[in-house]
Amino acid sequence: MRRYLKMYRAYAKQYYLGQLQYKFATYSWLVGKILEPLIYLILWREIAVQNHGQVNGMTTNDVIAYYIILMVVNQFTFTDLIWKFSAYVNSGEFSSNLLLPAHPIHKDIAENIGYKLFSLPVILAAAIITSFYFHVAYDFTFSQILLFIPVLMAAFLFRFLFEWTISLSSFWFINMKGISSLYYILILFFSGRVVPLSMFPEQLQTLVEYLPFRYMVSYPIEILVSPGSTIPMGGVVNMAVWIIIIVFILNLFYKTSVKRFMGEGI
Amino acid sequence: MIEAQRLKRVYKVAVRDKGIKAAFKSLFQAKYTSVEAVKGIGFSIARGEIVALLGPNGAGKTTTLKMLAGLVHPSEGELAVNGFKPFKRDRSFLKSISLLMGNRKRLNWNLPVVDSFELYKELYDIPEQEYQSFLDELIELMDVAEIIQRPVRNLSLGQRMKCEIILSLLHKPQVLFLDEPTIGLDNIAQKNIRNFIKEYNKRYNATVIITSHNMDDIESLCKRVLIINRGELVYDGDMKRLTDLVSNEKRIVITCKDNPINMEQYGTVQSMEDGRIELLIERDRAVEIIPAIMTNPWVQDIDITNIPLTEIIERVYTYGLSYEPK
Repeated sequence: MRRYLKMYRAYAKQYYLGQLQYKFATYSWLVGKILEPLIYLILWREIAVQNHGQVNGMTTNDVIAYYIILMVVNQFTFTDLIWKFSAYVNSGEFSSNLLLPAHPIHKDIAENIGYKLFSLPVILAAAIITSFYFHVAYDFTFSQILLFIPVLMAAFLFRFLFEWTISLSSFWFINMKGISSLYYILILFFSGRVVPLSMFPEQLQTLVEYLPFRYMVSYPIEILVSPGSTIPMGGVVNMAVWIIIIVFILNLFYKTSVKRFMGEGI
Repeated sequence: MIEAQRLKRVYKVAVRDKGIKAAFKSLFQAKYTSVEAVKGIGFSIARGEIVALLGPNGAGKTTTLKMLAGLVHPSEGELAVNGFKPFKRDRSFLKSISLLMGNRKRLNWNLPVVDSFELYKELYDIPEQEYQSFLDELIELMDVAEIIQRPVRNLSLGQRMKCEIILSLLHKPQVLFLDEPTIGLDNIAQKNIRNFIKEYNKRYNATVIITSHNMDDIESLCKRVLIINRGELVYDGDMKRLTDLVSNEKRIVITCKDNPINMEQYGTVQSMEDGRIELLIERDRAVEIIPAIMTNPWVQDIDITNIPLTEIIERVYTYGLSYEPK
């Protein structure tokens, strides 16, 4: 355990220091990540106001709170693995990772943590400023926060493992653009980034409950902001089942993919 | 230390005819062909040996190196390195080897070199004191004290290579795989790196497997060579024996003032122009032939050399071990 902690700290530190070299690029990227939920916030707030302060069971305050929390949760669980992984495999950099005395996933998780340490303070600051600007009232209970924290951690882990599994397709397909574009469209709509899932038509709501994307972004937000203030506990089981499934698939897929690997680039 | 038996690697490669029609057809009916990169080779390497793995491009030497390092799964055969099956990539195995690729960088491009060393210290779980004393030793041997605090992107190729070598050795690997370790370096840097590899091998009794197209690396470091051609092991043995097998000659370059006649009596004339004659003579008869040539009044200068290793290896690639001088 101590070894892993040291390794994670070392990787995260390296990545953090690397990010410091490209501050402008990282902060420009973050502006986009702040603007996306902010634009949806303004749109849906306007719709709620025009609809007498209610839209599909969410109050105007709920809508604002939803998108501000979304800004933080989405950044917390975000990964940019697929294209990066594909480049690693095709350039041969992945060969170097395979020769290190640790599973290559640890490097990616730790670097993702390094990236979060760099980017989250900016996103949190943006979330606080937006909260003051829109005078949002957060009325979470202690039990909501108590559930939110582990679910947020699990969402990060799940999204990471899911995207790492998709990234393994790089061993099978040289060009991953198609797969990554399809994935990003699905996660954009079905994880609640554009529209809160509670505003989906009923049949689509049933579907997204069983799809993996809800548990990457929307579900942790639903714990804090849900119409009628009822905590959707059922999601915990679905999320746990998805994590077990993805760990199983990842292991199997990793073994077959690496066996197929030809050590490109060297 | 390293045992390989009937080692084989087959790649499945997609093929199609030229043109748009064939490209569309391949979308629905993809055709594949099997390429045997390595065809059942076997060898054994003892601890502390420095062995060259040679072969022309596409011969299968890099695939062999990748199998030895655990990057590529053998299609068939038995392989053990340090008692481990490389492809299982056991942690203890990975801690006991290092693969240095001359055309690959592992140092973090954006950060000072020393940051990459620190990362590897944690990855390989090297105790602080051991790390510091060995790092100091390596820094001194490689003479890089002045550059390790500079960002990698600001270093020259030779400086970077020296630091890459230090990075590869920080965990004191027992087996070192070197793939073109001196590629792109100037002569002084090449010599330094070769001396360093020799020193590391001697001091830690490490096994070194090296692939290089630079024959100076091979001549200076290796007593034993493995030659792979078209996936088959065509030679495994002493460098001197290889030289005896395919080059029972000496090369003589004569500078002369007149046009000499009847040079064929001494050996095989390879070229003759502008007063410069290149002649191959039987090595065993050299003591008798050279004085005979020197008695000729038209001889101005004479230069006697062995057949360079580059040419010996080229002969093996082209003719196998049955080369006959023409």
